[in-house]
Amino acid sequence: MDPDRIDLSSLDPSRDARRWEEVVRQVAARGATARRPRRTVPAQLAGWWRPALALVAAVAAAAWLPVLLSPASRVPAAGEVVAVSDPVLSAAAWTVAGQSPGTAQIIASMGATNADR
Amino acid sequence: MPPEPSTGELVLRVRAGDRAAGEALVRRHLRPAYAVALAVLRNPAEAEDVAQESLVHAFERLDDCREPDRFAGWLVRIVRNRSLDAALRIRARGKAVDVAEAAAVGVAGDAERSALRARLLAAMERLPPVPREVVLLHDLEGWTHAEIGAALEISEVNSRQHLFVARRTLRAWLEGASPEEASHGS
Repeated sequence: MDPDRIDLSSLDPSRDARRWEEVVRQVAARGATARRPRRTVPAQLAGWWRPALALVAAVAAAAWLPVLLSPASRVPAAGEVVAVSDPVLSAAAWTVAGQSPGTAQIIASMGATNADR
Repeated sequence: MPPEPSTGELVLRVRAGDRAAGEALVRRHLRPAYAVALAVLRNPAEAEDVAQESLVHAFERLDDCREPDRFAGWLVRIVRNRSLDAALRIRARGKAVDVAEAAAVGVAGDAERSALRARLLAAMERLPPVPREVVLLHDLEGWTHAEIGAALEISEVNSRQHLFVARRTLRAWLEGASPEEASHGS
């Protein structure tokens, strides 16, 4: 301890330790706030694109769920006979069989496809 | 127990967004900032305000502190400038620093301490700014002459000289002698 030291403790702002600790915390909090970058309005809006994209994806998934789970969309089991309604497949089958489809068959094939849609 | 991080380390951590480091930096430098502000303003309440505002400002501009290890000196310059601005504002308001009033702030019920504060502040009036800063940083904050020299941009020898003169003047005033007597007495 320096014996020549002048006692300046009456000027010490931290004599009231509890008050000083509170002051320190407040200044640190204000400092942290001051360091936070101030973003422009477009930048703030741009910051929302990720959550917005996630929300849209969730809504889309929810909308598709019933379709995906419907019996029409299930995968046929091995060996299961499935009615062919695709006009392309129908045309291919007729070609392979050397068959010449009648008008009614063509309309039925197209119509079934349209009805599916 | 891990060693205390250096001021430079704390500055880098605050820059990286570490809130705990921010609190540690404030805890380490708020009192010295107050001492420098008090040296200019001679009013404890005003000095506390300026010290707090200066630290908040320093945090805001922390990226401008090119040498984190010399944060103390950088902060001292901010505090000095802000204290001088505050002194001008106070003067413009026509409110001269009333030492007795300044001494009474925050010490209600402690007449003896209040009187001592008033005498110390009155004695401080007799000192030029730099010796005032030196004696406050050394005898109130416990800084070494090396730390004071680095922060105030003076040599260690200069710091010792300022402290010697400041102590002699203050002691003479506190003991009732005039500063002229004190300066000629030794």
